[in-house]
Amino acid sequence: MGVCGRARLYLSRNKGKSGILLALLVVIGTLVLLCVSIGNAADTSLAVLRERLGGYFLVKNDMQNGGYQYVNDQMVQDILECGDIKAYNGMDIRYFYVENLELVPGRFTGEGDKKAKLTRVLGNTDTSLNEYFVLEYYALKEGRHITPEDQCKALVSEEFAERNQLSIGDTFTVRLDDERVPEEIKGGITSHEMEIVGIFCIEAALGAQSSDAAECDIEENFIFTDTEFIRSACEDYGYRMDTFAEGAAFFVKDPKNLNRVVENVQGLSDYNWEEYVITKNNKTYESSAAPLERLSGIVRMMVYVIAAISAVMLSLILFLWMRDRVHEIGVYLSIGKKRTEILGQHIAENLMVAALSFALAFGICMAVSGAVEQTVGAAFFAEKEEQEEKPWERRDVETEEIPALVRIGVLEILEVAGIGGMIILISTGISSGVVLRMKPKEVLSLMS
Amino acid sequence: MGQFLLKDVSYYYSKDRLILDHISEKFESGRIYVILGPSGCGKTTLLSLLGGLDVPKEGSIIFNGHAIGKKELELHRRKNVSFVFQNYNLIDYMTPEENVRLTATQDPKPILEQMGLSQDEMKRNVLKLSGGQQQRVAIARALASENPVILADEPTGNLDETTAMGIMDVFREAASFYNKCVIIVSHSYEVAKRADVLFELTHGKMKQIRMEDLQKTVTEE
Repeated sequence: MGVCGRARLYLSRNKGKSGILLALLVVIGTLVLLCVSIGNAADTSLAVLRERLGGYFLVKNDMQNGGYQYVNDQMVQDILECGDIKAYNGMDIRYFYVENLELVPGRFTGEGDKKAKLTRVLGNTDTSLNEYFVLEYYALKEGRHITPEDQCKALVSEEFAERNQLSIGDTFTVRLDDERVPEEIKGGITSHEMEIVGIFCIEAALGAQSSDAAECDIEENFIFTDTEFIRSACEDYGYRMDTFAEGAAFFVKDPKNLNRVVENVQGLSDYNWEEYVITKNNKTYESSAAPLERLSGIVRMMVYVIAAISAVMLSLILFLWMRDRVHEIGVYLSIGKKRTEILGQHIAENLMVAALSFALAFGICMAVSGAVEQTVGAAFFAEKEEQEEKPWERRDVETEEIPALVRIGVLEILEVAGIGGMIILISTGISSGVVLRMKPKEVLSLMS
Repeated sequence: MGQFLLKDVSYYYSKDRLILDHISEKFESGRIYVILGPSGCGKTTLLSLLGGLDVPKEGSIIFNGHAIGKKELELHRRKNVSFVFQNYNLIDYMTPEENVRLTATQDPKPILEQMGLSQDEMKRNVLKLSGGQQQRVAIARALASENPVILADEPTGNLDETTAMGIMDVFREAASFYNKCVIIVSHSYEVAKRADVLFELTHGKMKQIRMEDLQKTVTEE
């Protein structure tokens, strides 16, 4: 009679113990399977969140402390080569006259100053990565964002567009500010045409709102354009730029690694980093992903705790039952059965019960996964709503599109089977080992 | 064929408490050996050494010309010897048939029938059989293994005299018909009378006694 045959006989003839073991393993299996599923759901959501939220760092010359070296194309390239960066946005700010158009009036309109026609033009490699849009102070209402391939394109505010009856596809001209420019250069400053590709609305104003503000500081008058437009317009000053006066923002692939990526960048020896200031921003990630991170951490901890408690409980129960099996072990030893064969029978018995209990636990989990998903989702979003007042939280609204799907797939089943298998091996090894380590004569003495 | 040779075997728990003292003896197949002796004289220890449940402190045990080493005890128990205990030592959640199947190389039913068990009794839980029937199942398990030696420790200790004699008949058949070497440790005069060879174990020494001295030996015990 083989190991499995004996194990089957033991289980079928000891229904009480088998039943208790089955019930215990069903409870353990259900808890572990649910925890693993919740943990994996949280991890999956986290991965999507990280990818979607991003985190970035801004590199800019430290003008206040005497840093005069601007971020330039070569530096951007070198930073990108450090790895783990998925995108960047180089930024400039220049002031242009919009002589044929009307700006939202400010201080200079009342004063009849020619600066009433001067506004701020923000050069961007990719406007979707500009902080105003990333943090959702502004939102694209129509059209599209400016991309690195664009030349002479513009995003204007809906107020500016309405005031001047402009729409997507329309063009207008601007001319560089010529104040404080030497006379010999002034003559070379010409008009440049821009095409509107997008219209944005202001969700949360950050800049000046009063009529005392200069027109160029009123956010409705801001114009976003591409880097190439700024550079070609600045050729009117007599040179070609390869710099980003407002620095460049680099978006990391995983915001969790933001600090490490910045450390790598600061390790670039070709640059004097005292001339630059690096500002990190992964608050969006921290505020939105932290609840899920915590949930994931708690669930993982629960899996370990449940696994450890299960192993201890199972070991104790099996150890207590082992006292009733000393006789059986003694008989097996006396007829020459190997210790490994006896241990194998005990493991086979427990694995057979575990397989059945695992199937039951799987059924239970499938039945309750919907309810668990709702509970977990509610707990997760309730925590986020409490933080809604913080400005960067606005971006979290998007995360509601990321469901914490508590699904029991092949991965979860394999994980729980692995954990369960380990628990059973450890528990059975400990409980049976106590008797099996004895000499056969000692076991037979215990029997009598 | 099975031939046991004890060569200068000693066993002790401590040097000042010698259980077996340089014993040398030979056991051959086809015969029943009975070892008599008072309680605590080392009879069961001797049986444990013969059966590979323990190893001698000194000397060696040779089976069919081969000394049994420490690493071969398991194999020795599996291939050479079969135990029959006073308390039967059957697996309590199995039927007689399943108990015999643990060692049997062939269908266990004929041998159980030979031991007087009915078809119905073969399929009962062993705990639902009488003491005599359980001991017959234990002997059937020993016979079914085809191991050449049966080591029996007080096999009739829990049985009434009639049943005990029935069990001794089975051992006799095992020795004569199956050509087994049967070594029995017992207190019983009736068991001793059925032996081919009698030994007395006292003060760690083992000596052969004649049948005619048996009455005297048992009375002294």
